[in-house]
Amino acid sequence: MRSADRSGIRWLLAELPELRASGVLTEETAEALRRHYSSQLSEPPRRLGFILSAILGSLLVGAGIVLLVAHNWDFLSRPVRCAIAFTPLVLSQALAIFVLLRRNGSAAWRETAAILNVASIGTTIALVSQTYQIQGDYARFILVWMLLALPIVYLFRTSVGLSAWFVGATVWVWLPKAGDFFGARPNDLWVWSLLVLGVPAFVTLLRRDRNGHGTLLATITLAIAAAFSLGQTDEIGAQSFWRCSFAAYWTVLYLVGAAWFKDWRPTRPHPFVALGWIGTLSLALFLSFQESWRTRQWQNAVDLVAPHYPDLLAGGIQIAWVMAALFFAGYAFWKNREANLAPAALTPMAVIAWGIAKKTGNPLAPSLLLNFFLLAVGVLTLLRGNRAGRAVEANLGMLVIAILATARFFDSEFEFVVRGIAFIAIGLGFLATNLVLFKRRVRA
Amino acid sequence: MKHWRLIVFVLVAFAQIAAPASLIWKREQTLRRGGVWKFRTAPVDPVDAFRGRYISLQFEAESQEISPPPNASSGQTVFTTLKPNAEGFAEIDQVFSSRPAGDDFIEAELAGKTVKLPFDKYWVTERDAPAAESAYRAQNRRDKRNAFVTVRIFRGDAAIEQLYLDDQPLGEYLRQSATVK
Repeated sequence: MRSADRSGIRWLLAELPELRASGVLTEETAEALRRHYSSQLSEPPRRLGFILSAILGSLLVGAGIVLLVAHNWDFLSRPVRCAIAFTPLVLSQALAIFVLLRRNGSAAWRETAAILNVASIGTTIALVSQTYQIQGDYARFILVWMLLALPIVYLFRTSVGLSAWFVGATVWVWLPKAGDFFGARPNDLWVWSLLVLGVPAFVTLLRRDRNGHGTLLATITLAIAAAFSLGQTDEIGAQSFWRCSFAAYWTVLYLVGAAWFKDWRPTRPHPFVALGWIGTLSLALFLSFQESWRTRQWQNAVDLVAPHYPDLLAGGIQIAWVMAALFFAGYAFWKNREANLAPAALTPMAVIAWGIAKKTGNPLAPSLLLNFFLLAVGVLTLLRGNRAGRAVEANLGMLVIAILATARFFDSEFEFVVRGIAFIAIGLGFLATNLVLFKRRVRA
Repeated sequence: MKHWRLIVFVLVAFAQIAAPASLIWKREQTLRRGGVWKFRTAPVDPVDAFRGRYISLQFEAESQEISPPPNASSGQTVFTTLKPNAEGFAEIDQVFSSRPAGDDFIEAELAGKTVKLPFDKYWVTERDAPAAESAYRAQNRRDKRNAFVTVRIFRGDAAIEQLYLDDQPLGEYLRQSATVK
């Protein structure tokens, strides 16, 4: 069953007397409905407020401790400072043991104990580093902190802790690193293993509370971490391929919202639907300019021909994203026809356009392809919206077409004649669409 | 196994304590057993959000041209031995790609024909960092640049002991310059 939308239930209960009076529902049916939904309403709410304030409070305390420590009390001797450094850690561990023994059933207690413990690990390492003038780069500090915190995510089943893990991975991938293993830059690829380490916890969270707020937070932080990691991977792998890998990224994001979380709320789509639309349209619009396909990298022979092992691995990850997006789109098309899958066509379009640009080095054909994609998405969405009588969707379709038209008007790449013809075509298409829809509405 | 979470947590808690404790252990070894070297330096004052305020150090020894070991590439970890120059400050003696014999060497990073030392931060209080920087700038203007750190070195590890301005430890120097004003 869909997660209860409490305001919707309240609305339904308020409507019941009128429905009964007008004879739409019989006395018994109305009573049965009232009983069924009242029981849901009187169920204890998920105590979101309590959990949130517990989390916020512990975050503030944690941040306060970090700031106090950052002040650096140089008038204290080394042993005293070390004792202070270990105090928050030991206290948070004591609290964690208490929660495991006595309050394991309470999400608020678990989240609080986990956050305090995770914050105190970082504090202790930082204060010891300060006291002993220990150097070492920031990336390693974050990594040690994260790895010591990872078991907490699993032991305490904490959604905020899991989100913090993904945020940590995002921070880590952007920090400069030492050059061991793959070398300074390619070491960023390890971020994918960090993300994978969080996946089992993420799957458990999805199973336990699919439509909860904590799950949404973890999903968003995972998406952000994946975006940053993919950006760094594109730098290491085939650089010009970022067009395809990010098209795949937005496709996956959109499909997760539109197909996978289609039962998110009875009245609202998942936030990823909106994010996916924004990302897909922005990227497609950018790629619809010829300028975005004009790059020296096409002539660069090493683009995609990987000279080293890490570059090959990065290229593989880029391609894996594209494959995942295509597979996901195919699955959604097969299983879930009622969702609007047009934006998912961005990935195959970007791949074809990239292939053409790579082969010919000519920016015209790829940019035209993306223009065609935007036009098709706009028209299809408009048609879908009108057919189903959904004004928001119809307007979204028209918005896409309008954005495309505006972009082309300011595009100095095309000659006036080409621009003129394109505008006439778009205008005629627009008129024809509306005419057909209007006629059908009148007939209906 | 009702309490498996507890058992796992106790192990994790032990690791959480062991990680910073091992840092302390290693550093105490170096501070107790390592030899003292003086590095001439130039301090500036940045902030680190998590670890507080520090004085960023640049060393004369880092601009010294060295002969890198054969087959070593930039960014690789190398081991350097030190020698004192005429004024008693540390200079880089030899650079190896593997650990040399003896206790007096440090792990560093090869940067072309120079070496990047494994320490560049001196943690201080929020109050002292800007004072230390402006004191150093003032000294620099009067053309008697005299800042150095003492570092204890033991089998690769290097532990900064104290930052000196004008031959006085930082705290003392700042106290004195405050009373002079």
